Amino acid sequence: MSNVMLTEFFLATWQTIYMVLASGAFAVLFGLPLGVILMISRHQDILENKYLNVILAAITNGVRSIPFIILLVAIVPFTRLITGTSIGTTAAIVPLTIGAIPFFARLVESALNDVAGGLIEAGTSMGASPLQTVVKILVPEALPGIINGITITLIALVGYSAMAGAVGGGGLGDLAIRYGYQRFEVGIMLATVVLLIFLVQLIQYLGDFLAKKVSHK
Amino acid sequence: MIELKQVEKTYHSKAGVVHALTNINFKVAPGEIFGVIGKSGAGKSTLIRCVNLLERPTTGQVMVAGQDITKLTDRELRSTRHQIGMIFQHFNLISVRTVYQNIALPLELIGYSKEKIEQTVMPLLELTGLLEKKNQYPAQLSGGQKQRVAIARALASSPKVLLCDEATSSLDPHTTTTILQLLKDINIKLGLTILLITHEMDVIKAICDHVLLLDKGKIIEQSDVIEFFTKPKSHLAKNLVKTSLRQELPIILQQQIKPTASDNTNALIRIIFHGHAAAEPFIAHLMLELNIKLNILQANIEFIKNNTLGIMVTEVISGLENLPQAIDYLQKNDIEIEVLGYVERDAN
Repeated sequence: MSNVMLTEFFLATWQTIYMVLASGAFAVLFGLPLGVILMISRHQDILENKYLNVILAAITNGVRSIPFIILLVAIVPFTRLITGTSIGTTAAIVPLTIGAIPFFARLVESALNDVAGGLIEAGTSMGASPLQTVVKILVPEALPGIINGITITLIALVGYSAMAGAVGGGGLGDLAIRYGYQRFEVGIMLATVVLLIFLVQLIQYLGDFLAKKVSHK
Repeated sequence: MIELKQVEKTYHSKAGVVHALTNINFKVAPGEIFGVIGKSGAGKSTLIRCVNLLERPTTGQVMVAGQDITKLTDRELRSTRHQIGMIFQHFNLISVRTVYQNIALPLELIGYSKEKIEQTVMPLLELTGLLEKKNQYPAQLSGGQKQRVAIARALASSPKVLLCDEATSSLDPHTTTTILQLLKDINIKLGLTILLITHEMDVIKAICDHVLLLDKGKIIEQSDVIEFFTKPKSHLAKNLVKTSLRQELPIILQQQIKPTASDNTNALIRIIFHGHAAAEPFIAHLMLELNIKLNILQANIEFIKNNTLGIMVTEVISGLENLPQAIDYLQKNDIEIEVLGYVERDAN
């Protein structure tokens, strides 16, 4: 493998990691509160609010229905507003984040739903306010589940980021398409796949390790 | 301390209106242990949840420490709830918090400082015998230990009232006894008023001062615990007491018993005595003064709330004609007597 190729590999790997971690971090930042609100607005013991729930659920499902490749180009004006450009790795982070927020929010909601109703009831009986219930009981108790959700989201982002090439985002997926698919260089295709598998395994391993560490069940 | 007035709770479901509670009125005096008993589905859980408004009654008043808590704002209700501790059948501990942190939780909610929390939690760990378990997580504890943590947690905010929702129902008999002892200890040491719901008569027998029997959302009867066991009024209460006090006759006698007397039968009578009556030599009196000879077939002494309750089934060998005087004498001495039926003379 030539030096040029090697540089391409390093760059693409870095781009993938950068896109996945940055959009993952933003997805957690926005998706966690969204997931919490989705859950508590449906729960009669905390902060039931049917209208809010219906609206948020509709937006969440709406974004999740859009194929990612469409989302990538559809929100170009918004991307330009945020990053100043619509092309490149940093620009790709915006649609990746937008796509991952509702995905992660639903995973958070599901993790919170798994917290036994008795615990919420116990909190209420102790005089916990809705905010205290969320901060002191719900989120800590659901943390292992939330970490699993982060793992799943990051792995999904590895997949999504393969399409970032469409807006010049680069990354391993883009490399595989350009060299492996368009130029029939099977060796390079295989190498990127192996790298991607390794990356996914690493994320899964770290996620499982952390989830186990915070769980005391 | 607690008073429910005209409390009703109805649910609207697809199947129609469900009356979970109807016309509930009762009072729990300060410092007493008040037990609500009933079958599953009787409405016990709804009832106890109405006391701290985990469920809001459809109508009626819930008075706790003199104030109608159904009229409070959310904020006021939260601070009132600090005065009402609650423990649950499934403990409901936070799995990611240690024993110490679980007990500290209600204090964190109030906003105590770290030092003040420690000053409050340490004595509670001692009271509930959990000092050594302080840094363990709930998953590492036995059921009884988990319930101790829950009790300590419920006591942390120095409540006036403790609600126990089937607190011993998922524990084995031995652990149940130790938990009940702890509750009794707390009741005495802290003067805490306890309202508990259970389906186990043994719980009522062991620690309650007052009993309320609930069935299909309605109060069937309520009375002092001794009265409940000695003079149950309703059919349901009678059955419960009978089973609980093992008053069922041995099967061999049940098969032989006849409702009416004949020439060759003896009467079977049940005698129930309690309190000071237990000190009265009444069998000797019956034999010597009234010439009634008794053969004891079954006898059982129960301790209910520090009172002795004796139950005896006897066969009247002779002197049946004097039975009216005997009944008269026994009733004067607060001893209950009941003719159960008749058995053939040589039956045993």
